[in-house]
Amino acid sequence: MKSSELFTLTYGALVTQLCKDYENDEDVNKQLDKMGYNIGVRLIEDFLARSNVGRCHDFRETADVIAKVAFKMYLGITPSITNWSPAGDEFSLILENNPLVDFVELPDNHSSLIYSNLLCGVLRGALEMVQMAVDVKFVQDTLKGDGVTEIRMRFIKRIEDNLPAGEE
Amino acid sequence: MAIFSVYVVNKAGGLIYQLDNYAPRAEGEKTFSYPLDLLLKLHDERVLVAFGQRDGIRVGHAVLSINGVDVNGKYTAEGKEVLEYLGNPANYPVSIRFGRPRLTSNEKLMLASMFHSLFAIGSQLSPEQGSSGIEMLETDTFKLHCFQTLTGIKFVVLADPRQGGIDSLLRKIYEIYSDFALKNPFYSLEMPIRCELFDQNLKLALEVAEKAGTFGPGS
Repeated sequence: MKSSELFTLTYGALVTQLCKDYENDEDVNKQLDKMGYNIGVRLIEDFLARSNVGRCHDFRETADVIAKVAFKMYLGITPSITNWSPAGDEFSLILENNPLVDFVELPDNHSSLIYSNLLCGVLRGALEMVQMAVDVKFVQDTLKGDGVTEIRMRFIKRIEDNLPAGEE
Repeated sequence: MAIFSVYVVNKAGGLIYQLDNYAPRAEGEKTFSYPLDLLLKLHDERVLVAFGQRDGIRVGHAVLSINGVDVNGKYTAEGKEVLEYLGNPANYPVSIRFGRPRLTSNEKLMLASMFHSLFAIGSQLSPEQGSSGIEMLETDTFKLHCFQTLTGIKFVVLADPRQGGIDSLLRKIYEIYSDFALKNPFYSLEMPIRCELFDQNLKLALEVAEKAGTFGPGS
C-alpha cells in the first residue's frame, strides 16, 4: 500500500513553488488549472482503459461516473453528488476529506489561493477529451473555514468538432 | 508470427505509431548469370518483376538487395540505377534477393488516413445511431481489427485470420498507450509515439497474445 504522504508533500511543494514564482494568488490559481488540464487530458485515457465505462449519455451519468468511479480510483474517496440545478446542467461534488490538503493550513496572506485548483483543471481536461465542455470551480473549501469542500460543475456544451466517428 | 502489424491513428486520422511484426517468407537470395531470365520493370520508384517466375520469385516481387546490400528504391546502395546495373553483363554473376515490396512509411501514413475516412463512412452508413464503427475487416490472408476509444484514438491490429484474443489485445494496447506514452511527460498528445518503453511493452504484449491465441499451420 503506497504512502499518501509523499503525494501530499509533492503537491504541497508544487503549490508553494508556484507561489514563490508567481507572487500573486490569481496567477497561481491559473497555473494550477493549466497543469490540471494537462493531467486531465492524459488521465482520461488511463481511466477509460482501466475502468471500461462506456459513453455517458447525460450529465447525471457523468456525475455518477466521476464521483463513484473516477474519484474512487484516483483519490480513494467517493464525494457525494448534490444540488442539482433544475435544468440538470449543474451539480456539486461534496468532498468530506480531500487527500491533497491533509495537514495543510492556508496562511492569511494567501486567502484567495485555491489550493486544490489542480482538480478543477483535471476534471475540465478529462471531460473535454470526451467531447464535454464544462466549467469547474470550488465554491466551498475546508481550508478557508467551510465545513466541507464543494466543487461545482456546470455543463457548457457538447464539443461538436472532431467528434469520433459514430458519435453524432 | 500470427500478429502482423499494429497501427495507432490519432483523432485527426494521422498515423502516430506503426509496428510490423512479421518476417516475410520466400525471400531467398539467388545467384543469377547473364542474361537474367526474369523481365524487370520500373514501377513507383521500385524495380519489380514484370514477367517470369521461378524458385519462389513471383510477378510483382521487388528487387530488395543486390549482392547482399539493400537497394534504395530504384538505385543500388552506390547510387547506380538497378536496371542499368543488371543490364550490364560485366556485373554478373550477381546475387539478388527478391520479395514482396514492403510499404514505405509514406504509404502507411496514407493508408492510415484512408482507413480513418472509411471508418467514418462506416459509422454514417449505420442504420442505427451510435455505431461502433468498423471493428473488423476480413480477407483470406489476414483480419484487421480496430478499436476506437471514446476519445477518438484508433488502435488497429492486423493478424492471422485464425488468431484469437485480439479484442483483449486491443484493450491491452490501450492500457500500454495510456501508461508508456501518456504518462511520459515529454510525449505530446497526437504526435508520433517515439517512446522506447512503449515499443518494448507492446512487443511483449504481442508475444503474449500470440502464445495465448490459436495458431494454424503456415503462420
